[in-house]
Amino acid sequence: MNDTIPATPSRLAPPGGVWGYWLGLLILTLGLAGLAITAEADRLIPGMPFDQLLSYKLTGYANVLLAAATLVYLAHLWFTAPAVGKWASGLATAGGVGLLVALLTLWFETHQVLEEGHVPISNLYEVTIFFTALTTLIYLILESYSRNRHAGAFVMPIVVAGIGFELWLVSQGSAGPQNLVPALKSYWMHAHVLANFIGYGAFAVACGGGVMYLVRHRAEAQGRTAGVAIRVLPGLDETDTLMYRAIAIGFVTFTIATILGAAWAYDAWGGYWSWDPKETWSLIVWITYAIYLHLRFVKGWAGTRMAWWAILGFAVTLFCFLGVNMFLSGLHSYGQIG
Amino acid sequence: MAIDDSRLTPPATPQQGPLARLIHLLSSMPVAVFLLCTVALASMIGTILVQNREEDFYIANLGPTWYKILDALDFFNMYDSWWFLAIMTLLVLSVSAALLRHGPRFWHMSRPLRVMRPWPKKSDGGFSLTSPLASDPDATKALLRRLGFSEFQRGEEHGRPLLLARQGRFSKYGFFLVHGGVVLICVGGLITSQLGFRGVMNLPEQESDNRIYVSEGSSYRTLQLPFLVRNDDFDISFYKSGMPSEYSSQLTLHRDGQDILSKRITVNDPLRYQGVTFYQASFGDAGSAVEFAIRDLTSKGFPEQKIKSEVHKELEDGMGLKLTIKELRQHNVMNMAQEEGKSELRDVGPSLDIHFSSPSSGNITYRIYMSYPHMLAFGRTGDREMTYDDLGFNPADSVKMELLAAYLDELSKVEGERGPDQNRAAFAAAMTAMGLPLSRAAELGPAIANAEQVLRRHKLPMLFSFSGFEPKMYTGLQVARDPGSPLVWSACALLVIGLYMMIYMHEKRVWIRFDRERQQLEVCAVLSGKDKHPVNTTLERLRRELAAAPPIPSGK
Ligand code: HEM
Repeated sequence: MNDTIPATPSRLAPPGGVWGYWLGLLILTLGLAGLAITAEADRLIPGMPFDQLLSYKLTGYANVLLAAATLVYLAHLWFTAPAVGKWASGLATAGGVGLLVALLTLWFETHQVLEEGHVPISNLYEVTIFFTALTTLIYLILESYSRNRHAGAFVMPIVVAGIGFELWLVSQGSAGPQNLVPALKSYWMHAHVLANFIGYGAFAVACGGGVMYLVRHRAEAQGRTAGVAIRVLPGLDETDTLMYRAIAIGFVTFTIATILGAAWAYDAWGGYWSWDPKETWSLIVWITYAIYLHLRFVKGWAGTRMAWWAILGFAVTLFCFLGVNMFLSGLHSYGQIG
Repeated sequence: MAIDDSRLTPPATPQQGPLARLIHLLSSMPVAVFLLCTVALASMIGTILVQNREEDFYIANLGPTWYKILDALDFFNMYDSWWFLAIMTLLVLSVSAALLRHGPRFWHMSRPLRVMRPWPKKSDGGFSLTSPLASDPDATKALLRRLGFSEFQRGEEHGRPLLLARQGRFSKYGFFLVHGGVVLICVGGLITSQLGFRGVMNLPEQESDNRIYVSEGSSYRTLQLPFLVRNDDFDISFYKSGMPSEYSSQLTLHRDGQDILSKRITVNDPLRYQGVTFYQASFGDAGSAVEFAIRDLTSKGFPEQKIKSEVHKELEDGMGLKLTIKELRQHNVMNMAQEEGKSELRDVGPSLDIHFSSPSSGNITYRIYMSYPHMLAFGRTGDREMTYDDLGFNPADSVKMELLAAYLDELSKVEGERGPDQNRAAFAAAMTAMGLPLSRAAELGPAIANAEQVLRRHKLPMLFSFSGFEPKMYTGLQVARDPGSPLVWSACALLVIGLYMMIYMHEKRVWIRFDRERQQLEVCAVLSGKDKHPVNTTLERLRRELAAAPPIPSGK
């Protein structure tokens, strides 16, 4: 019998020790945050303006690293030497870790600067940082499985857009830690937001994958045999797998997040579901990706239609994340801009 | 993915009869996707059209025609409307139909591996390799067991041994858990909406009640609990910014003069008793006692009247003049920064809002600050913002107020042009009329002159000064009975576990043919993976492990 193992097995196989690597990075993150906190502990005073906080500066440095990583990823489309890709991944890793360190530092700082500390995923500015960090890290985890570093050129621009939004919030004066209204002081809420943003990050990665798929598909459909899209972008099947994996991670965590949100509402308002706009839009996001899974696995849809669906899904996700706060009112007013 | 299920599938159940056809239709993917899209779209409309507002609001925004059309279709209480319920019911039926239709097959596929299955016609991949294991099915089996395979069958094909190994037998159960979970969540929601309630109860301190107000569209219905709830104590703490940081109430449930249960509830930490839950939802003023004084600027001598009353009370003089005590605020945070664009928030203490109306002066809302009695703050109907000014002294200061009255009185007598000389003369006359020594003119003059300007600017009929209060708060409770929730939470757990199983657990079946003469192993696999990656890794790993197997000791 012939060897019928499908092509590209090693590319899809996880390299040994992937999780060891991420565990190492986690420990490094905690260690760096510990250092930052010790370094800053003495100079924090109540009511200190947030732009004097170390976390604000750390966020800025990390954002620079992420912007640089994006440029290098884009350059990697033309400069295909593996070293370029490694630099891109390295910068992105440093940026993602930097944001987590910044958030951990901010966590500590809220306890010193505000009257009551909180986990810094409580206002729009904080969760936007969290979103950029998680999108980067989820992408990097998937990259470490696929060992193809070209998708970064499609995912990282989303991160840069997130950074742009964050800067806009700063310019509007709606950044910086604020005291929490009583309803936000709940462990359910922390777990809910955490899971939610893993979901959002994963859906962002899937969207980047969708764009990459369409780019390559178009090049192939035009019969090109050379050019960036054909030479460097991963094959269509591989990209399809990347999208699916991101959506699978996202769907599971987003389901958990929605349930945790319901549990929080149950403890705070006396009903697990009240059709508040944010809740309703999470349901819509959830249904969008449930349809994706069904079309893919039951109807066997594949290819460009699924790529478009991943992009549409992220558009719906973005509306759930930002649009609801900007255009619709509801219980989740903590995210209100301005 | 090519899955050779032919041998695992039970004989096809006849797809005839109206019920079978209905199940078939309901569970078909186009119908399922259509229903899911419909739910998504309908819910979207509900977030854009604000729900459950009063009629005027809609008419003002949509016009009467659209209001009538949309109201007839229940669009303003959409999530409770018959048609939304109908869509949800159809969705539940569709998922149930899918369970009925695919259930037996998946159940069948999850049965233990009891008999040998022949080499599959179509596989997901395979390879062959030379290995000493070719002569040792037992060792191969042990190796596979180490790799996580748990079920085995041995057979023979043309005299050669054949081994079938399988893992992930239960992965198909994920389908039941996920879709069953969705059905149960909806059923739980239905139970809650039919048998449960959710209403509000506002309880002043030290009072007991058992009535709950349940909103129904834009009206209310009252429910009575079989026991009473007493608010023993309401407590609220504020941030320096004046924003509430936490509020809580000590609640006691009692019946027939007997206390049943007592607990301090806070936001996010409710009290549960006999299926009824009491949530700390809001708070408000239950008629705090307030004391203030009024200076009537329309009467001669600006007479003062001291008033003791309660928030929410209305006072009338029988001649069209009306005072409503609107709101007591214990904290008022203001930006005290001198520079533009800077912020320096400070709490300026308690304030009281009093609504004044009279036929001659119209409506004016005054805000009086206890710690800043000389500050005037008021707004007339139609004003966007409050007007602030500084009287220079407390309206409760009788000497200054009476002098001011006398001064204005003297000024009104002045005929013709009014200049500094006339002002001075009027002031001196007022001092004399009041019996004040002229030596105090330098001290009192500027204050009175300023106050006269201020009053002329604003033409206020009254001045107030706020002297004391005794807060009396009510606690705003959300009271709910939610009989569906245990089912919902269990179903959520099933859903999550099932999702994990469906996405990350795969059924893997591997056939191995042993060719002793040529020392060859031939392997082929059938996997129910959704993702190509587990297929590839499984095969790759299998090959690596088989190739690395140690040589069989001779003699065996
Ligand atoms: C309402 C929410 C629903 C959710 C969250 C949901 C979720 C899922 C998920 C996650 C899968 C697995 C996809 C995969 O194989 O990775 C799946 C498969 C499937 N679903 Fe649904 N589903 C829903 C509704 C429905 C409906 C309405 C039907 C009715 C026809 C249906 C029928 C199926 C079928 C037949 C499969 C294939 C199972 C298999 O072959 O393994 N689902 N569903």
